[in-house]
This record gives sequence, C-alpha cells and structure tokens, in this order.
Amino acid sequence: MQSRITKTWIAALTLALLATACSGKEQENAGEPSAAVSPSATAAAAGSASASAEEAVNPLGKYDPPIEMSFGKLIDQSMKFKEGESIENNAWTKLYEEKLGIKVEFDWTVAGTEDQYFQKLNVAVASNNIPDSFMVNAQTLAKLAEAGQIEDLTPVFDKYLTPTTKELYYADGGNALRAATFDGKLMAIPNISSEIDSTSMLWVRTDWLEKLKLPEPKTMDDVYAISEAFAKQDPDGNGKADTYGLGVDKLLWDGFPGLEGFFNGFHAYPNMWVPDASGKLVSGNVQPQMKAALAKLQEMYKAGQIDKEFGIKDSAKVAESLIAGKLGLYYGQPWTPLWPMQDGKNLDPNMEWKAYPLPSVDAEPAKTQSLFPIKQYFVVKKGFKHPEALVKLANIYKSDEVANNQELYSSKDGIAFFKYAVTAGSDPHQNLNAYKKLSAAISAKDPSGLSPSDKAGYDHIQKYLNGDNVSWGNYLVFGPGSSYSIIDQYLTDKRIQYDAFFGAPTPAMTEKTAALNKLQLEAFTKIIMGEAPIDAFDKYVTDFNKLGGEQMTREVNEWYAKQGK
Amino acid sequence: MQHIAPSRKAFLVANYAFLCLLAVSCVLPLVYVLAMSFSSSSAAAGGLVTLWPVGFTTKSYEYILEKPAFSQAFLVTLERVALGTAVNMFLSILTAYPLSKESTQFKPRTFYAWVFVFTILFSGGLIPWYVTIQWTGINDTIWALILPGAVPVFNIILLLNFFRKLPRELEESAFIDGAGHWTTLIRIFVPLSMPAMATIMLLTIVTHWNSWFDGLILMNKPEHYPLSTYLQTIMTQMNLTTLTAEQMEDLANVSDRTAKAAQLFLGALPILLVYPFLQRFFVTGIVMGSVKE
Repeated sequence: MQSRITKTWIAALTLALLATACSGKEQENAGEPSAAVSPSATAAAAGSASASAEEAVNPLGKYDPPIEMSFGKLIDQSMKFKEGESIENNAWTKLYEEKLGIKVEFDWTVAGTEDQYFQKLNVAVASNNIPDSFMVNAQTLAKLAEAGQIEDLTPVFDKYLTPTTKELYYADGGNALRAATFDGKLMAIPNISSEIDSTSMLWVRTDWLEKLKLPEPKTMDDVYAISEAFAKQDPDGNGKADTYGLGVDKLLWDGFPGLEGFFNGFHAYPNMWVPDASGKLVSGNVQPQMKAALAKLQEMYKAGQIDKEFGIKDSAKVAESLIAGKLGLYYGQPWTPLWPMQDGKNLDPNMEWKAYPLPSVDAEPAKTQSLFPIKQYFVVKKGFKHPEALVKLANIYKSDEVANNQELYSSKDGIAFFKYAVTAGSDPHQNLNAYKKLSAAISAKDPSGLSPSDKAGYDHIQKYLNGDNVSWGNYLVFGPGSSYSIIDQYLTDKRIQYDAFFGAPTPAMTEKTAALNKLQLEAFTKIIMGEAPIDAFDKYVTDFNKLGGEQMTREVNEWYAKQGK
Repeated sequence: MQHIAPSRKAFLVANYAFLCLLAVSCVLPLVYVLAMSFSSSSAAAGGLVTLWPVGFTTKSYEYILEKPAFSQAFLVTLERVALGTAVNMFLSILTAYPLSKESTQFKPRTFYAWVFVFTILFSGGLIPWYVTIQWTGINDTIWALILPGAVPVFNIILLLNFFRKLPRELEESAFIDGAGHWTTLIRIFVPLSMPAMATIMLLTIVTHWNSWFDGLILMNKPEHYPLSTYLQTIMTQMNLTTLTAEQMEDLANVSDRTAKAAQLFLGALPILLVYPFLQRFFVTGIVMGSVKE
C-alpha cells in the first residue's frame, strides 16, 4: 500500500515538473512579445519616431542602413507568380528594398480566401504573436486598438504623405480615415476602395424580352410584368415551365443575385443607416418601406416566379439556373457579366443581357444603396521602430514609377502583379474611368489615347466586336451601354444612397450583428416563402429593437452627433 | 436445393435492395465529381453535368499536372501520413500495453488512465494549443502536424481493450519461457492484435489525410500546406457581396469547378485505395484454439 501511494506521488510530481518546465519556457519566451508593449519600449519607439521626424521628412526616402519589416499576407486564390518568383522575391520586394531600403519579410502567408486569412490572424493576435505590419478588418482593428497592440500613426501619417496619396486618402472628405481613428488617434491606414463598384442594377435577358414582345423595364410594374412573363410564358421555348422570374439566393443580400436593388426600388435600404426626417440615423432594416417590398416578394413567390428552393440555393447554385438558360431577371452588381453570364454566353451564343438603372415603385427615382466601402486596414505593430515605413510603402504604391511599370501595377498573362504589394488602395473611380476611356475609344474606333493597361482592355474587347464571344462579358462591363454607363448615370443624377454610418463598429455591433442578421434572414425568408404572414414584419421590428437594434441606434446616433462637430 | 421460406425471401430481397441503395448513395457523389472533372467548364457551371461528362475534356487534369501546388501538397500529405502513422502507432502500442495490465500488476495504472482520459474530456482551446506549439518551435515544419496529435487517446483505449481480451495464459506462458515485457509485447501481443492494429491504423491514416485546420493555422507558407488544407483553400467560395475592382479578375476562378472536381477526386483516390489493402487484416478468431481450458 505504502509503495503504491509513493508511486502515485512520483507520477504526480513528474507531471507537475513537466508542467512547470513548460510554464518556465512560457515566461522565457513570452518575454519577447510582452516587451513590445512594455512602457519603456513604447517610450523608446515614440522617441525614435520624434527623432526621425526632426530629420528632413522625405515621404519616399530610403533607409540607410536598410530596415527589416515583417508582414502577414493573404495569397488569394487567383494569385500567380512568374517562373522563379514568389511572394518573398518579386518586382515589388525588389522595389521596396532598392527604393525605400525596406526589406520586406513574411512571417506567414495564407493561401485561400479572406476568411482563412482572418482565422490565422485571429490566432496570431490572440497569442500576441503578430508581424510588424498586416491587413485587418474593422472588427480586428477595433480589438487591436483597444488592446494597445498597434502603433498610433497620427504623428507620421500626414507628415509623410505625398501629394498623390494625400489626394487618395482625403478624396472622400476624410471619412475613410475617420473610420480608422480611435479616441482621436489614427490607428491604421485604410485600404481605399470603391463605393460605387458594388451598387446594384437590374439585369434582364433582352433576347427573351424581344421574343415575348415586352417593353424595357422603366417602372416596378414593368419588372413584375417581365418577371411573370419569364416565369409563365416559356421564354426558352422548350414547352416546359422550367424558367424563373426573379433570381434570389439564400443570403437575400448578395452580389449575384441580390435583393438590394429590389428593395431600393421601394426606397427601402436594408443593412445600412439612413437619416430620418428628424435628422437622426435609423436602421434601414426596420423602415415601413421594407414591408411593402417584402409583401411584393411574397406575392411573386406565391405566383411561382421565384425559385421554390431559393432558401437553400447559394450564389453558385442560382448561377447554374442562369447559365443553363432558366433565369432572365435579377438584381446584381456591375461585374456579374464576367461571372456567371459569360459562362451562359459560352453555352448559348444567342443569350443577350442588358443592365438597367433601378426602376422605382413611384414617381420618385430609385436610389441605389452603397455601403461604406472600406473593409480592410493596414496596421503597424506597437513598438515597431519605424511606423512611418508603412506610410512610405503606401506612397510608393501610388507613385508614378509604379503606375508606369506594367510589371508592377498592372497584370500580364493572367498574373496580377499589383497583388504582391503589401499595401493597397485604389482610386474609387478607377473602373468608372476605365469605362469612360474604353467606351469612348470603342465608339470612336481609336485606341491611340489609351494608357498601356487600358489599351490591353481595349484589345480584349475588340475580340468580341470581331465576333469572338470570349470577351463579351468585358464588353458588358466596360463597353458602351455597359454596367458602368449605369453607374455613371447614377452619379450624374445623384441616385446613390450612401450608408450614413462609417465609424468603427460600436460595441453593440460587434456583439449583436451576427444575431440580428440571423433574425432578419429567418424572418424575411419566412415572409417571402409565405410561411409567415406579412405582418410578421412588425414582430421582426420589435425583436430587432429588443435584441440590440435599439442599443445600436443609440450608439450610432452618439457617433453621428460627434461627426457634426 | 435448400428451401427458403417466403418471408425469409422477402426479407432478403428487401435487405439487399436497401444495402444496394446505400452503396449507390455512397458511390454516386464520387461518380458526380469524376464526371464533373472531365466536363467542359461552362457545362459544369451551368449544372448540366450529372453522372456522365458533358463536353468531354481532360483539360482539368492537364492543368493540375502543370500546376505545382497540387503535387506539392500531395507530397506533404504523404510525408505526414507516413510519419504520423508511424509515430501514432508506435506510441499507441507503447501506451496501451502497460495500461492493459491490471492494477495489481501495474499499480499507478488508474492514475495514468485518468491522465489520458482527462485530455479527452477537457481541451485547452485553440489559443493555448497554438501558443504551446509556437513555443516548441516546430511551427511551419512537418512535426507541427504530427507531434501535437502524437498520442491518440481514443485509439489507445481501443487497443488496450483488445489487449485485455487476449487470453492471459498466452502472456503467462511467454513469461514462463523467459520472455520479458518487450518480447511479450512484440512477439505475442502485436501479432495477435492485427485486427485492432488495422482498425486504428485506418483511423490514423484517415485522420491525417483529412485534417486541414492545423495545416492552415500552423503552416506559415502555402507551399507547406498538406493536401486537405490546400483543397480547402481552393474550394471555399469567395465573398461576393463586397467585391473590389481588383477582385473582379478573380471571377474567372469562380466557375473553375471542373479543376476543383479533378483535384478533389485525385485527393480522395489514395485514401479509398487504402481500405481494400487493410481489409485482409480484419479477421476474427485469430486466437481460437490457442488455449485449452
């Protein structure tokens, strides 16, 4: 008996020893990351920052001796490399080292989609094992700023901007920068993206329109008529009732097909904040206009115009219907001709599509909704000695040297070189301008005034005009009468409703958004499918407010009040 | 000619029909993926492919051969399965043997058994798991995929229960003949436990073949991803709600279903082939007649 107890004790002791051995290692190694946030290190960093500020500020100055800067980076599904090149070794890394004296290194890279990047990043952030600089989303940015894991960029940002980058970051009146500002401190450089590229428009199969002798859609009534005819009058002429009216997918809100445009036609603006009559911000989700749009969708579903199984079909599944010639009407974003329409055209060369501006339910023209476009931010780890290096990297991204070098900024042979860069941010009207130049050149049949990259686009579209359908989709996006002509029209007529809230996510948003989205999806899907009466919308409004919507509205208005000042 | 009662006959027919349906429902998805991989890209995107290729082409397979990423990931997985299975089997056998003894023979047995069971019941969570592996410095090496799961407790429990069912007399006679624990383990227990070994080996191989999350989190370069992680990164659909100007170029990939199907099929093939080879070890009654009582 005695010996048994002794042995158990020995075993327990061994384990305890093992545990302490491990934790000993922990302290030893943890010293490294925690030093980064210790006050002395911060003071040193601040000291060096102010010291370098006293030196002549050169926004594109070279570090001598060169500095090392580590990154985490997403290598997305479409990124390719030339023979012998890699993310660590390419024209961009060479440029960074030669021009700026910054040796870019990668602590880690993730292949796949943003979701996978953030999975990896979140683990790294939680274990405080982050690279010197990396890309984050709004939620992670708020978390990092609160935890003091990232460097304040206020002292260096404005000082180091070149005129070109200044124009880029202040083009929207500073809203993008405000979204990256916490307690008056700029904690990140936003990835400037377009607020117009994700607006929605109505897409119609015009060969079906002609066949059924229907007018082009100008009002919502035209839309209902087209939807009904496409569903009931056998537009594909195969004698079977196998076509749908309006395309809807299980998310309801999507790039293809999305219902945003349909709701906008009713002057309802889902998933964003709009000012009400009293000047306060309210959630578009709970406005009475939503109810009218939902009632109509319910009616259309009942009449068999919407796929009975939309509730389980994702974007790719709805795309199948379109490609197979079963769907001829949907609301979607400007890029949808590239996918899935192009695949449909490949199978059936007679397929013709056209984009129309959103029709309205009444005399007032419909405005398309535009969500706040900044989804990504670039940050610098707390304690990194040269926070201005990130600003320099952002500067060189927009420098003439890069813009004039196709091997840096553009793409060739299906390799998009600009994706190798460690920062990003493009002129929000880049695509719109490309459309303007391309369609003018196409109409005039004169490509002489185009830049090399626009010329490449021009040549590609010429293939379609010469009878090869391979670039049909590009023609529908950038050519005359294309999707961007609609966006151009939206801008001229001021028919875009911008999200009125663009601050960092409020506490209630971080906590409740997921639950509220689920509530909305369930309630709306049930109403559209007729499983719940239209009055279920009122219950949804009550639940929305109760489950955090009210708190969100309060926080959003607190933010809104501060913006006026 | 044996007489079979009608009720029995009815049962047999229904039973075989049910089992056939079950088998078909397992095979059909694979046939679908195979047909898809040989179809033209637009036909696949239009959902026109069912069980036979539409617009037959071998383009997807040519594409995979040209692309190093797939074969690279395949090699990593082969390495992982070979090393991982060896380590898992070795440690499982070594752990199961002492734990299969009675407490009278091996006194702290209950204590150790609970230590192992504890790890099944409680998990440290993702972050401690990651941080611990980070400290050991094996991150971004093949060992990061092998060592954290080197002791598969569930497999050990299977094996130790099998060991316990072996006739005690065989072990005793080995000891009488002068064998020590090592000899008994290697020459009596292991050869007699082939069915259990085959089972846990299969479990181990399949686990290593399918794990993708650890590859994503622990590997710092896509070139080091095992096959499942690689497949996961190409299969996930990108978010279409917020597409930037630059991402428009990625749209061509969305309909790249045929290439994805081809890679899925090639990724599943080897693991399917393992089953028939391990099947011959699934024999019962291996110890029958070894002991006379």
